[in-house]
Amino acid sequence: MKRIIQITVAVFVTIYLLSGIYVVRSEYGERGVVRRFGKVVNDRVEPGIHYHWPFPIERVDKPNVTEIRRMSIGYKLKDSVRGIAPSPEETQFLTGDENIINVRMLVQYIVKEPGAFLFNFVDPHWIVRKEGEAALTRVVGSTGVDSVLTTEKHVVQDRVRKAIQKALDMYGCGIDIQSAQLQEVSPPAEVAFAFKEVASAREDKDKIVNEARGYTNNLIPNARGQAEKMTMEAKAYRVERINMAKGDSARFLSMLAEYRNAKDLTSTRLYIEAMEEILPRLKKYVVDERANRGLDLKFIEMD
Amino acid sequence: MKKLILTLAIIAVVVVALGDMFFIVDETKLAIVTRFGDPVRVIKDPWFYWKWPYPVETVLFFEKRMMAYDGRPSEFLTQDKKNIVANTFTCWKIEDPVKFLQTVRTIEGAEVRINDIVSSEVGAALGKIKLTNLISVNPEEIRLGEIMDDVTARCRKMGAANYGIYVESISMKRVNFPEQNKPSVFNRMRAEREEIAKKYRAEGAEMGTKIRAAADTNKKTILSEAYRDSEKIKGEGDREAMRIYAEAYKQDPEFYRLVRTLEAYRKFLDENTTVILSSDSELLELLSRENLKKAK
Repeated sequence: MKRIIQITVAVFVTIYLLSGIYVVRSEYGERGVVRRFGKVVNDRVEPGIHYHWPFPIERVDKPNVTEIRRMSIGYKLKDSVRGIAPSPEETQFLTGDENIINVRMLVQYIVKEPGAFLFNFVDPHWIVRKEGEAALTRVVGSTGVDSVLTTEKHVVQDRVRKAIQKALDMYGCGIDIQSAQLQEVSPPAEVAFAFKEVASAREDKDKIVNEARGYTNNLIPNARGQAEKMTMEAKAYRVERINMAKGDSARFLSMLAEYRNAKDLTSTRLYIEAMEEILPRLKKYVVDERANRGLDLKFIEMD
Repeated sequence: MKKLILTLAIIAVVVVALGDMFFIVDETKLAIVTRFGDPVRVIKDPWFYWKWPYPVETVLFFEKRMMAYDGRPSEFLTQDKKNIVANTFTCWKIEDPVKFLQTVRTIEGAEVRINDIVSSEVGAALGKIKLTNLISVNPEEIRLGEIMDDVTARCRKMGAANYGIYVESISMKRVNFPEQNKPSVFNRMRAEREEIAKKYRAEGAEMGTKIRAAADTNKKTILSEAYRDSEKIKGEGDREAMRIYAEAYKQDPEFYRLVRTLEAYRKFLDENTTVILSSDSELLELLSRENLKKAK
């Protein structure tokens, strides 16, 4: 009887002591945090098999430090899964130029310091959303609506990420913000058409400018071609004139050389040859000088 | 038998009483030990502690970690008479559990008080500023940070003095226009968009016209320069040709006159030309016999 009691006690004590064995699993990204009588004695137990004093002396929490957690701003993740649109109160922000726009953002973060994550803040998860909203209110509230909708998206994301991180570090939440991404930035449905009109006006502007550039691109090369042609023609004219002059003068000079040999004869010959060639195709009247000195031109006019 | 039951009962009471003498204060908790209802000890450091068993001493636990309280969205009027709905959140924690216990008792109770003081402080602060001090495209106008710092400092003072809480920060979570004002806001936004669209179209027309005009000017410049250059080149040709002609013809201007005149006759005298030739002309003088004789 006494022996049975001893064995039973021994078994229970052994089981009790063995209950302190625990595994920190690396595949779940776990890190262990050990509290002895409620006080943290080790806030980063690496993966592997470990031992802690059994309850109620020590206890272990094993938060996941590699899991990328997600927090939505401007909507609820569970609503978006179910396809429920966020309410205007959730999703509307004011821009620096007092426009209302819809903004939805997704923040991704990991638990960097498990001890800080567990013991400094109640539900640190939700503080990510609250600080995210506050950061968006500040950042969007200092940016013009056009910038938020177009060029400044990355700036907004960057500033929000940094602002959340700064606030969480101040509280000591042990959270590391990985990214803050804008999922939607759009004008509310009530004014969406007016915004589309601006976009199409901008496109019209680009179109007109492009057409004008096209006109330029067509006109100028044509003009250059024409100019080139004019210059080439002028050069051709110059060459032609000079060559003709050279030819004419060469011919004249060679004729002149012969003419000098027999001046009178050559000039008579040239004259007669010319007349021979010209006169056959003309209408001619021969007037006898001695018979009729006054010439009556009337019959010529009558002809 | 009766004695055995009594003994067992006494043992049970002693075990329960001993069990009630020890307690652990966790990292996440604050504890107050009260003796007959009066707080006698405040424990802020986690560890293993003992006390007299119930009903002499009792231990009460409070949250030690920071908490975030979402204020209710409320409508405020800014100095420039604009209605806005502002929504804040407050990060706070219990600092003096005894005062906390005596004034608000629970977290919910504290949150009611926080909501009251924060909304009255925020209301007072917003009443002193313009909307453009909250949201603006001009960073110099924005005073949101200092406003909230100021509200935080005042609420921190009140919270510590009245409720034993420490207000870490109060942040502006959201600013929006009240629902009933939104239609007019949307109308204004639409009007602004229409202006911008108009501006884009006008700019497009302006730029298009400018580009085309520049192109036309450019074209005229190119062509007129080409004309100028080509006339110059032609002139050079003409000058050179003249020089060559003069060089040759000046050797015997008489002969040139003869040759060139005959050539001109060839060109301009055609079928439509009527000539009246005198029988005395050099060409026809031989037609008269007298002249023939003379010539002999």
